[in-house]
Amino acid sequence: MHNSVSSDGVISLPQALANYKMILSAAQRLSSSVNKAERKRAEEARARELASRLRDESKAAYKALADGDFSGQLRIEKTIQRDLQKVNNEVDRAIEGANKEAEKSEQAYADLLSVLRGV
Amino acid sequence: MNHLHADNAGFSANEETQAAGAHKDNVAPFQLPADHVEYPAASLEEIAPRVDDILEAAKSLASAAKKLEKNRQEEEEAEQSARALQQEANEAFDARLAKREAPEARSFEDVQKDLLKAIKRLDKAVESASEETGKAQGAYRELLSIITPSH
Repeated sequence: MHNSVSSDGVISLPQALANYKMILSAAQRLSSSVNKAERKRAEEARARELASRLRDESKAAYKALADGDFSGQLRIEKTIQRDLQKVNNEVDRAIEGANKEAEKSEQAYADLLSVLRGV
Repeated sequence: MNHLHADNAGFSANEETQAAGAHKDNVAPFQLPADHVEYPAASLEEIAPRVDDILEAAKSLASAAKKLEKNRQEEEEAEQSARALQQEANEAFDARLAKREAPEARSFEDVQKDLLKAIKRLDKAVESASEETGKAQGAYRELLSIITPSH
């Protein structure tokens, strides 16, 4: 395979046909991981948005507290902080997932190119 | 994408300093094989929006590869049976001429019918193989065009 790469640097059609399983497998992994990474990034964006809304809510509740309105105090402690922590964890997990899928994408694309280049 | 160019630039610069600096090592300077060209592929970021197209092309290529393999087997079988039938037809023909047709042997006409069928099968396999080769070529071209940078 090494010495029959055509002059433009890719394997010939008969070689591509002979290696169709490797090509298909790399393409499947590539498409799956790129799409998953995209979903994870969308999840991250949604979680960030939610976190920012919760922080605003929390700020407003603290301000009300400072103004002498204690009706929101319980809500701050029991709900907002807990939700905020949860959503921050979600952001972290989404980032981690996106990074993992990005790594898999790199590997799959490298595999695909190495088959096509015949190396 | 220009890894290769950067490498080459670094390489020739090295060579120059070596030549200028009258550095007499016995180490042969590193040389890429003359015909070595790395295919200049697009980056992952560039192809990311088209991974589904890549998968489609790879699937078409795989399907054509499988069908071509089947065609090849079919071709082989049809050819083999055509040869055997041709032989049988010749024998039936000779027997007819010699007026010593064995009662259990098939007539020349019957054998010839089967022979024509086998030849048709062979033609079909060859035709289908060329069709599948065309599809494979299209899919492979598409795959290469997606991973080839457009600039």
